[in-house]
Amino acid sequence: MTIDTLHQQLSDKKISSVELTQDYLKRIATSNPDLNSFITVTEELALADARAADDRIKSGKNVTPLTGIPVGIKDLFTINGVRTTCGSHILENYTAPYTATVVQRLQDAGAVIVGKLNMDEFAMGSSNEHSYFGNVRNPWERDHIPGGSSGGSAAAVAALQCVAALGTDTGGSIRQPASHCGVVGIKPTYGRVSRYGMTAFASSLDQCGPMARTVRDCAEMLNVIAGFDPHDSTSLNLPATNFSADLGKSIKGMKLGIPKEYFIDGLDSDVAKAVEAGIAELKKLGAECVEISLPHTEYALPCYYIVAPAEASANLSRFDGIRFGHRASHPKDLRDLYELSRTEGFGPEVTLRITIGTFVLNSGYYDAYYKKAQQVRTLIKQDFLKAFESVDAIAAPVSPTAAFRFGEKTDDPIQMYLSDIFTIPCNLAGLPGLSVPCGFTKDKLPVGMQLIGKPLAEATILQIAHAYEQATPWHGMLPPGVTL
Amino acid sequence: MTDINKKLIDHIAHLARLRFPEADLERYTQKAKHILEYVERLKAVNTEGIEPTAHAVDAVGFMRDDEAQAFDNREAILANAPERDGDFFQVPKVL
Repeated sequence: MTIDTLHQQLSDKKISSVELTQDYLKRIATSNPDLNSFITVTEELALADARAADDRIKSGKNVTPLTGIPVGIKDLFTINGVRTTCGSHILENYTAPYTATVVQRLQDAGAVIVGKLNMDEFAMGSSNEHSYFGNVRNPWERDHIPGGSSGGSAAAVAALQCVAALGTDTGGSIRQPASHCGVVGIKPTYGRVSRYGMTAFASSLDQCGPMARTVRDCAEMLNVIAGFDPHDSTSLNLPATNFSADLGKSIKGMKLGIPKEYFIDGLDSDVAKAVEAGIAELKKLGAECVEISLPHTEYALPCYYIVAPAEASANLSRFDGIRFGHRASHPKDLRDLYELSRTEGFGPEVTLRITIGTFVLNSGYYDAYYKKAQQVRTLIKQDFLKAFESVDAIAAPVSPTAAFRFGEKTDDPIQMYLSDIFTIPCNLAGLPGLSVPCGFTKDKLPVGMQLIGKPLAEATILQIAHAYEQATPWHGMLPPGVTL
Repeated sequence: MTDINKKLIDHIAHLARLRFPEADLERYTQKAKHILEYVERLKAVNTEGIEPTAHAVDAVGFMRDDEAQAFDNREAILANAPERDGDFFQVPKVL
């Protein structure tokens, strides 16, 4: 069920939001023991939101496309009075005293919040194997990862536990799980969507975005969550944009760049085939596809693994066991309290990244690592800006492989990090990027195609993705055992 | 190439207010070494005269007036304190 179909049914009073919400809560209760996509189900809040939505619909006032629609929230966004764990032991018992701007906007639009979704701890991971609350399983194949870090969001949308969800994307955390679970996910331009109430991982890269089963649903979500927020100093103060305005318009004559550096050794042959078929379909729809070069692509991953841990190490210093979060029992003194609380509270991947980040920012190493990475970041950004002088958007794979098996890459961090090799450049350059389903591997695992846009050109990549989606059968497919 | 050894990682852990027992120290040293060797490949890029990018979008970071604003959910903040004494966060003896 999509947002527009459900909106119609709600408006026609064929179903109430309370009934719809109960149906989704039932789906969650049935499938969550198996998928583990939700950390917290907010049943009471959801039913209260649903009753309020029904009142709005009855009165006919302030009804938006999202009024009465059940949505899930990645568990690193705060909701006043609701536990917010970030997938971490250190925040296991943290109850947020305020609400994130994006959640507030969804609630103001009348959306129904059904729960908080599982994720890699503090959004650090590509497989959801780094959650303190256990692995999320891929709805298409249970012994495979759902992707990460927004793995719970992607799995919940794919398994119809909610109509849409919020994710965050620092290096691919919306697009990669969307690709692995066969749903649509968009990371907007940096600054488009408020980060207030979104727990910081790497502040210059983090961006919130929607995940849903169709491109139109993502656009509807983005219409609500995007926009200036005085609570976020990096929020862009721009006039409101209608992200669904160009959906349905032809893409004839559009020029798409195909970066040769994204079709390399290590790209799985099934994934390559699906993405190449996707590009062929875009040509059939009238787009002109040309090969382009983004020469610094190979340096994006090492650049990211300096910049992101550096920012993370600073952001995560706030978890000190003093004002909130886990505190070690019986510390001898203050230093003991800090060190034990943090060491006990953070999982291994977060600990590793704090260590790396602290190292690269340490005096004596700063210029060789952090400053160098920031200079390389400039070159990566320039690659894109140069390419966009001659193309309207870029089409590429999302991830080099489809969802892999649990445990397959846990011992070697670099192998794990490589699954984000095609998504990271977009974050470093601050550009909008999305993943749209483009087929399956031989093992029946979903594959996504990535579209990258010019700064602030979300509407263009949504238009292209929508045209592609409407011409292909992928978005209508459901994981085994999942029924409408 | 910096020599990434246990002594250095132990020092870094202290700076980050973390503490690794011996077995963990060995593991984190190996993993950190692996990653820091990997990122060394940036050295191959000529960055002479290239300005560093801290933020991808240029127009970020606006200022606002420094005015106090009321927050009406004070008790909910204090309720998260691991240990408190009335309206104070409690910590072990400092001096």
